[in-house]
Amino acid sequence: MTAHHPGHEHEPPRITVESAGLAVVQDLGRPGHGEQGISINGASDRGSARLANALVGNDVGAPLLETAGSATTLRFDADTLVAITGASAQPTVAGRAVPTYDPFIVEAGATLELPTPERGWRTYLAVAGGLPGEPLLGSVAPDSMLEVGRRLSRGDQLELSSCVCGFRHPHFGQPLWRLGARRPSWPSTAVVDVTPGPELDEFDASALRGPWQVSPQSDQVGLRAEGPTPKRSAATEILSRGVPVGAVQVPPSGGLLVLLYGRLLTAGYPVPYVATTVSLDTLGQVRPGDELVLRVTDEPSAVKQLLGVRRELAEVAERARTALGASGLLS
Amino acid sequence: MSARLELRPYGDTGLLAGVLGDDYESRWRTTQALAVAVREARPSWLVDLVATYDHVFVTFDPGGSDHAGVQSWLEQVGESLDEAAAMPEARTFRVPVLFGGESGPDLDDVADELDLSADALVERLTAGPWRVRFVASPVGTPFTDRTDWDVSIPRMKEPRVAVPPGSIAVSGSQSIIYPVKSPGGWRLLGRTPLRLVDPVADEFVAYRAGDLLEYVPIDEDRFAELEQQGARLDAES
Repeated sequence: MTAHHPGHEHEPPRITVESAGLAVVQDLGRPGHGEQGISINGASDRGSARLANALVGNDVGAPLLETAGSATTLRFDADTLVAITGASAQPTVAGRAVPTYDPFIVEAGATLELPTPERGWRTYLAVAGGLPGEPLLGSVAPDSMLEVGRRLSRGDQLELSSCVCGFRHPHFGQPLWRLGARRPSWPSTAVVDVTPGPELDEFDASALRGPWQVSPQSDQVGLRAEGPTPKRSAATEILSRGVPVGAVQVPPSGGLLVLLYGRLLTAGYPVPYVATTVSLDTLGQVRPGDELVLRVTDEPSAVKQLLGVRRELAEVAERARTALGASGLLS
Repeated sequence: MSARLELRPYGDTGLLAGVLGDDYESRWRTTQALAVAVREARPSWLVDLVATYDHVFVTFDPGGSDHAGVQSWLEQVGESLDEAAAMPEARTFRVPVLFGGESGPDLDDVADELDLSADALVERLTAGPWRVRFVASPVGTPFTDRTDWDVSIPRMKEPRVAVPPGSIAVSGSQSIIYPVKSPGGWRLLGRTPLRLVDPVADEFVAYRAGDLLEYVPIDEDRFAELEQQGARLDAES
């Protein structure tokens, strides 16, 4: 997106971080490097991340802000087109409520407050043109093993590639567009769809269903869920093998470990189930203490759901391009 | 020759191919040859591939194919697999290692468990090359073993929070080198001053499945010297 650069200023438009919780510059990570043992990483709730980008006319994988379970405040020094998705919370600009799941413009000099979520855990803020970042293997996503990634702290400045300077409207901060994006809710009991894994036969399926309780020890690598340890009928050791994101592992220490996008590429624990790709987004929004219930589905149903979500995203992206284009905000 | 495969869905975008066969060595050879063949064919739906001892795990884009399509494609590749042609030639990497002390805090304990002196253990570790079976996590870790090393070394009960990069470690009858600082539960016997990964190089890691690693003992002075040079582990010229 080009919009209009301010002709009279030499400095590029920027965002200044006034306060930051756990906030990082994020994208969709580094898929396709399994041969080198590099994990995918990237946004935990990819549906929300893609949607935020689509709503401002970006490529769905553009760098954006991801915050987790905390509040962040940002000051904008130029009129900027943004969209907020993810956790349920009411963001404000200069104390006034602003839309979520629809794009809006933050006025030059204004401060955007992303509050601690009421439900859900991660908030995504996309900025037209994307946030700056230094990609490694095509991605700016944090990776603790590669020691890359940018976590924001107070005083940081993010230079933007574009602003909407010159696009004046009396209702900045008000919903100018309604693009009909579906707004998920994040109940305190998360239902996670799973397909059968290689070791399902070695467990009593009813003992795996839950409810499980999300442990605060969860991270980007895996979500720990506490509950009674499911008994495994076989005692055979499993040689390390490739393991999918979403694998529901039963570690000897008890409970479940659901592998997330930062997962190591191989593992040797039994895997009775695998969370569906769409359910991984739900797992990106659960909070410590929330309940998880596993719901068994099959691969064809999961794929059908995934393709439906992709189609829906493509439709919103198209509506966003049309609406922003009609307002002169897209080249 | 054709590979005998056991294929099953592994998640809504994944397929797991188990390689069947009589012995460990031939299963591994078939597994790695299959991986090379898939990577070279580069089907448009291929997202990622992880090949280990006797499994190939393929991730695909469900917008480009489905489980049945990927499965029959893999079966076809397996049927016409030319293992000898698929596997690249093995290269040897000499890995200088400072054994014991702070660099290998578990050397004495592991030697005790194996009923060996620390010196005898180092001698055993350096008596022959270790075959890289595959490269996996964390970042660029070579998983190696050796046909004349049939032991069963237990892991740490509590994994270490931060293993220093370059640590040479053992568990079961395998050996790995930790390329980056990471948590880890393997027993640490020594450390190499060479860098294993280079994020901006053409090849992220220099070694691949099938290559050989030889551990060569060095002293503290040599370790410091090599560490200062910041050299990267490379194949023997």
